[in-house]
Amino acid sequence: MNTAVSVSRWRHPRFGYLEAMSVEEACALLGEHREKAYLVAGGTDLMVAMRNGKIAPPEHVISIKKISNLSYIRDEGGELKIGALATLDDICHSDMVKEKFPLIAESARQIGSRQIRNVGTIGGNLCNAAPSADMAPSLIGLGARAVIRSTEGSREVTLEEFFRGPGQTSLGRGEMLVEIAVPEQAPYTGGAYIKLPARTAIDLALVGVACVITLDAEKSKASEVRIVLGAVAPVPMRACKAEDALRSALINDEAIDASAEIASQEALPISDVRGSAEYRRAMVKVLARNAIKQAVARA
Amino acid sequence: MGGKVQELSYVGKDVPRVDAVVKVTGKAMFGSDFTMAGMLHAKVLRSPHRHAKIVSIDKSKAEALPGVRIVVTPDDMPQIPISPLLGDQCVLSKDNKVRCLGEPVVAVAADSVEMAEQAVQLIDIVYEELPAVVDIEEAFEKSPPVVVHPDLPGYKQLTGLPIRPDPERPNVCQTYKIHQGDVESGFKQADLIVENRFTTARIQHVPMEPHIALAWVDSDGVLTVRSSTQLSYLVKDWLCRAFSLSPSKVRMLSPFIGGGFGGKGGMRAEAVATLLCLKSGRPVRVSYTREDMFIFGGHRVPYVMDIKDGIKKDGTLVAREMRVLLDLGAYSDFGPLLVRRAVYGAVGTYRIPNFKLDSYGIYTNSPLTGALRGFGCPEVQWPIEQQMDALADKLGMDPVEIREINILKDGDRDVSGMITRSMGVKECLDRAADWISWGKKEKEADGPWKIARGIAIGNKSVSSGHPSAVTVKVWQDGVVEVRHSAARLGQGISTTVGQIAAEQFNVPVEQVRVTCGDTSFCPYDFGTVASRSMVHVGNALIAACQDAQQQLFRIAAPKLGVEPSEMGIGAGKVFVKRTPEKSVKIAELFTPFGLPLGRVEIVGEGYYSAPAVPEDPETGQSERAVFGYSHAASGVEVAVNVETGEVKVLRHVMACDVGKAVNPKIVEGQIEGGIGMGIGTSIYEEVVMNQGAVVNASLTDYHIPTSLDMPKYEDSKAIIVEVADPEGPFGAKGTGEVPLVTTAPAVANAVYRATGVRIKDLPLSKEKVLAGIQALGKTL
Repeated sequence: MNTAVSVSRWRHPRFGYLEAMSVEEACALLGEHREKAYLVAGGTDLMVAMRNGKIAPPEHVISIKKISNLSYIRDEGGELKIGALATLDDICHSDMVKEKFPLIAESARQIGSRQIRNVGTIGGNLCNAAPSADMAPSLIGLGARAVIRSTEGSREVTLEEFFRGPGQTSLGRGEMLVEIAVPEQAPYTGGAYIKLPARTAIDLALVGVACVITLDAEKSKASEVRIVLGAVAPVPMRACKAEDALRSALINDEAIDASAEIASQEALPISDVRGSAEYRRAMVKVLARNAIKQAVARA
Repeated sequence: MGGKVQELSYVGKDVPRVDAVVKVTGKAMFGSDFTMAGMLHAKVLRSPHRHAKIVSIDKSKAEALPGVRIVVTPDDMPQIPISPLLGDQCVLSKDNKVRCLGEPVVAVAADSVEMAEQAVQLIDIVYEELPAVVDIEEAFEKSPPVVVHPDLPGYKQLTGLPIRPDPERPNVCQTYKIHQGDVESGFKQADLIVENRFTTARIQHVPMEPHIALAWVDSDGVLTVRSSTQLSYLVKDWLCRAFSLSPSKVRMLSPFIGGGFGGKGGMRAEAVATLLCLKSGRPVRVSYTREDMFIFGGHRVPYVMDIKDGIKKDGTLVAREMRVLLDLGAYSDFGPLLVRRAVYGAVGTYRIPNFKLDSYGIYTNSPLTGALRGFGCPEVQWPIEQQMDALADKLGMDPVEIREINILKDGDRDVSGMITRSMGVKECLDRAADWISWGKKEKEADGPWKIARGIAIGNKSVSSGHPSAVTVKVWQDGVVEVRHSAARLGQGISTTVGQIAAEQFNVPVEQVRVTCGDTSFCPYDFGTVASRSMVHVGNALIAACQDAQQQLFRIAAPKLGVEPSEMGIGAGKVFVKRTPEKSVKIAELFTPFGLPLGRVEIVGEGYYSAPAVPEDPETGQSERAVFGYSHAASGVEVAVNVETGEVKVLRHVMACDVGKAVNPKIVEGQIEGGIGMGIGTSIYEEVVMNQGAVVNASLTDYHIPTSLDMPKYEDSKAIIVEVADPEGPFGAKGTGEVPLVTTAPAVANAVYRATGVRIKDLPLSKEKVLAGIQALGKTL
């Protein structure tokens, strides 16, 4: 249970507003102001966190909204490349994404409301590093990489390594996320993301589970499987033991149930106002089973 | 009272709402649309403790901040109560003590909201923390760990409302009893006794528009307060009392209100706005944030209810005993009235020969509570309607049948001693059951989703003993101007009273102008609460129309050569009833300059207050404790996911007996709104508390339903039932609250029928439902 004493905390914090016109400029500003600054794109997470006191007001907010050519969604030789500024709405309406990576469109569509998807960006959803971030489980399941830039150059990490804790990423000083790269998926691959919110829409995940599975040509065994859990650990986490169990088994209801059970044991949920740890753990089992079954059906 | 019953031209018709175009085009003005030159913005510093003594306050740093115009502490003003009924609350704490988290302690007015916020943070208060009690049953004890208001016995009773604390229980500020027959002998006659405990959740109204008030003093010294209130005249009265002002120098303005639901039925933003305005001499606006609303905007009172029912094998109820505990929080607000009114939910539906209900209003160190749509009636019917199903289940009876056996019929004396009249609940029940295909086979389970139907009936009373007045001015062009003081909450009151005036004057609705929202020329109204406006404003209006017509007839008498009693009115003319061709135009009753012949003005006056007979304090018996009852029935079809505990309302019908729907489209809108709000309070809504603190003070974690949580359009149905009340205008009863009574128990009954799990504590959250299902699995 959250023990925070809630007495009106609404603030109108004062901060400097800086506008970067290019990635280079944004990185330079980040290097200059270091931990005293935040990047803002859609602002749907940052502004709320600043207003309700969940984060200490920064000295500067660096807007990257005006950086051009960073909202692309394109197919590069089978790989999907999404610019950090692509809005969630752009992603769920991209024909290419819907056709080749339907799981990504499906996950984006489950975030917030139309209004929020219109301004919220994929980069923001990931850099906010909420354990419940809806894009994270699916992208980790698909083996996505985060492309990171700084004034020093560019590097890539897997999205799995990108998250370090609630609100914490592996971005270093002067670094920003510029792109999400999703590898081409093998034949017979299917994916699903199942989210349990408190109500049907405009809500955070109480638990979210993504499964991406690649079956062999006979569709009896999984050559590759990823099960990723959201909102039940400090970071979106892979249920590795559950994956192992499924990888070595014949795909049937029994194996799926066993894998889902293992996933629920692997989860590290906490109790808060949205739900108890026990309930979340129980739901991982239900959602993991459903996600695996759906992914298998789509493979 | 009551209107004519012949063929009606305007009443009962779907006349378009008078405010539809201005609202849809964004021209309608709400509280936050008004600003003034020189206006200051207010913020309050809230108590960080549940219970504490204020040792010292240092406001010097705040006062030194540029842009800060005034900082007011409790020491800067007299300790005069702002509460409606019992003198237990002041604008800024009382007797140098805070009694709950979030209570305002210091108020600041500054040039901007930001400056006021900054100033508030610079105020240093030293508190001496005191032990607190937040558990209602601990607070209820005869020797509670903490007495929230030790001075309660000395508190002033501010109105004629009887306030009867419990001398043995120091935190109980109000008690009420309804006793009839002898429950002990009733239980002896019973073949089956079912006993349970139920609770309701603390919820917020979540109106689209949070509380807001703007106060200023105009050049002739009149304090004017424009606020989002359901109670203009009462707030005016309270401001006069708290600030020692003459009623002649206080004017309340009420613009369009962005949703009330009872939350604006109390002193809210007005008190601090007035305080700061009077202290600073500048216009001051107080505007609650959404978080303010959750912390100190008022919650629905949480209830703990024990209910014991005795029934015969044939399904006849022989005894019911209830104990109702209300957690009023740190201040009583309308609680002492709520403790009384709530119990009528348990009165107006069933015939029960032996009945005993005791209700208690209890202070705790929890935040402010107040009225919320239904004023206790939905809360007490939450246990009753589940008990009816539980009894039916144990007797092997059908839930519809057991209700039909026990519902009151016209002429029956109810458990409070009032004779039942215009009883429409059976028709509501039958029509709801029919629409939801009650008794027919339900759809098969779809995977983990189990589907079942549920039903519930209920009532909401219209209050009595509180007046409304209306004036009607007739202009020389024949336009009829109605002046009333009901608030425009979105319920369409100006449209419906316009229809009544059109009917009375036999003129098109376009010839009627309705004005309201200004106490300087609109007459007294108790308030837009308790489903009372249609009955009270409607009846007062009919009387005012008749008065105005008599004035016209007297002027017309010499011209028509007949007595006023032989005249009629219509189409802008006064005519002789026997020979209608003999007539005089209304314009001809005025001079060419608009002065009525031989009069100052044609202004009819009307007044209505439903008759009230004081009850016996020991038994609650009264021939007339309320005006009467409106009735409702809900039929729902729900799907319950037995793996996750999710509950979805697939179909929902609600039939409401409103006596007469003056405007059926508007009544349907009220019912549809009730379905939505009912689904919210059933499944999603709860202000989560932790040791007196609100944990989810935002819409991120306080969930109101979205459109996707509603049944589809074709799966949601509002049915109007019209069993006319002879004392209501054109037979009308109240409509506003009764649509919130039946949904929660109907959903709970359906969940039981789907899963075998009876949820007794609102809301029906996933976790609770799943825990119930799992517990059931273990006992099987």
